[in-house]
Amino acid sequence: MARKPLSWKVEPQNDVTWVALSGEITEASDFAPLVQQVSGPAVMDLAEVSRINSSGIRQWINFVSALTRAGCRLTLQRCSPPVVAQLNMSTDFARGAVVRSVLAPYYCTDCKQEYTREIALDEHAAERLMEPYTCAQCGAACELDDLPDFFLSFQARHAAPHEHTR
Amino acid sequence: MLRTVSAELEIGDALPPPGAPYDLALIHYEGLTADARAQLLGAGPAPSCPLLFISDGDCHRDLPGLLERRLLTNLLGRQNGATPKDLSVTVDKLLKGGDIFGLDKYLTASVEPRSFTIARSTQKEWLLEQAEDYARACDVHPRLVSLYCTVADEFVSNAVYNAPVDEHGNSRYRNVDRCTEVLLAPHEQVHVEFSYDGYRLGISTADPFGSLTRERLLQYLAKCFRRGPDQVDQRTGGAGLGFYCIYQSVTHFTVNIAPSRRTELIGLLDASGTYRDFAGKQKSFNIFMTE
Repeated sequence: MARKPLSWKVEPQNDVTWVALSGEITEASDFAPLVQQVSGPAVMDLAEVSRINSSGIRQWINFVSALTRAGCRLTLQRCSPPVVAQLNMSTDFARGAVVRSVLAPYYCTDCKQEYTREIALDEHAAERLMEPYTCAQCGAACELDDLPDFFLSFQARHAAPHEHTR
Repeated sequence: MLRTVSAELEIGDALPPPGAPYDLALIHYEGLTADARAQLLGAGPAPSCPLLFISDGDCHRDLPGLLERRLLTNLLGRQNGATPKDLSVTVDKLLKGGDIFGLDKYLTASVEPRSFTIARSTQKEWLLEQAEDYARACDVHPRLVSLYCTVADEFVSNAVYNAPVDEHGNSRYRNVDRCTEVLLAPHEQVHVEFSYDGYRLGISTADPFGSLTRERLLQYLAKCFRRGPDQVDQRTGGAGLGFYCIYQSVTHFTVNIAPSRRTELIGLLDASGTYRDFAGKQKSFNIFMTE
């Protein structure tokens, strides 16, 4: 199966730059061209980030650092489960950015179907995380496919009210 | 505590004192007194004999402190994690040494194992495709497929960039940008194995340098678990997060080292359930050394 290198789509929207990242973040992920395309407030959609390796963590941290040093107010939204894993593991993964929402994973053990649900990082996030997700195929209640006590453990470090919406 | 000379087994609730002639101390971490835990974490002299921690979870919470003191070289997570076979293999390797290498010591394959040889760094992408295909063919949870690829990724990067040393023991490629192609001579190539026993997915890489040291491995893990400002290396080369990523992506991480001859990394992922089942398992970690 072919692997998917990092790619992005940029759309200026009023006074906000909207960016959607897709694929794997690795040592081969060169963010320099993207830094040139983003200025001012920016919203980054991370729903399609599929995997991040150890070199990719550094590439990403340096990218976020370059944007925030340049004065960009960065909001991260729809962080995929691999991104959330890094938010929980790496101290500086989103330093200087605001994490607005994550995609929580749910899994139907009967149909072996994966689902995600966007969870806004507000004071009700933990409750919404535990609400069952109904399987679109069989109607069964899918439970959160991660550790409830750990999945949002980064929240205290990164969450803050967001300013930009798409 | 096991004393080889008299084949004696002692059971106690105190840590073995420094200098005590034990070949191995098995420590049930949750059974330690508060004083004994404090002693391990820095409030007193550490035991000098090899330690094998058996834990239901507390040990993981104290991991940063135990790594800082370089005491955690062998840990078996008991609850839903390590199997009796793992305990047997671990004790055998620690007491007898000898042939410590081989993924097959942990897994009896139920799906055809696969093996590969890596001769250049650019083969990594191809190998990750093989890893992904293998894990998918084993019909494991999709998020575990991704973790398996991450382990393969970090294992190969370590074997290709960090392991090779020159005749003086100096690293050849550690500080090389990870996008720069590295070629390995035939006698330097990396051996990779995939295996699955219907319960655990396994992967191993072996390099013929044996340059990884216990101290370096523990130093990197301690730095990452400390989560300080130095967590990510900014020098040219790796980010210094590889072992940490591996540890977080497996159920059991084993490192076998024959200094100057061979290093083998083994990763086992409990793939018997969902990602949540996997993430809830206690982790196991071993470093074995041989001559």
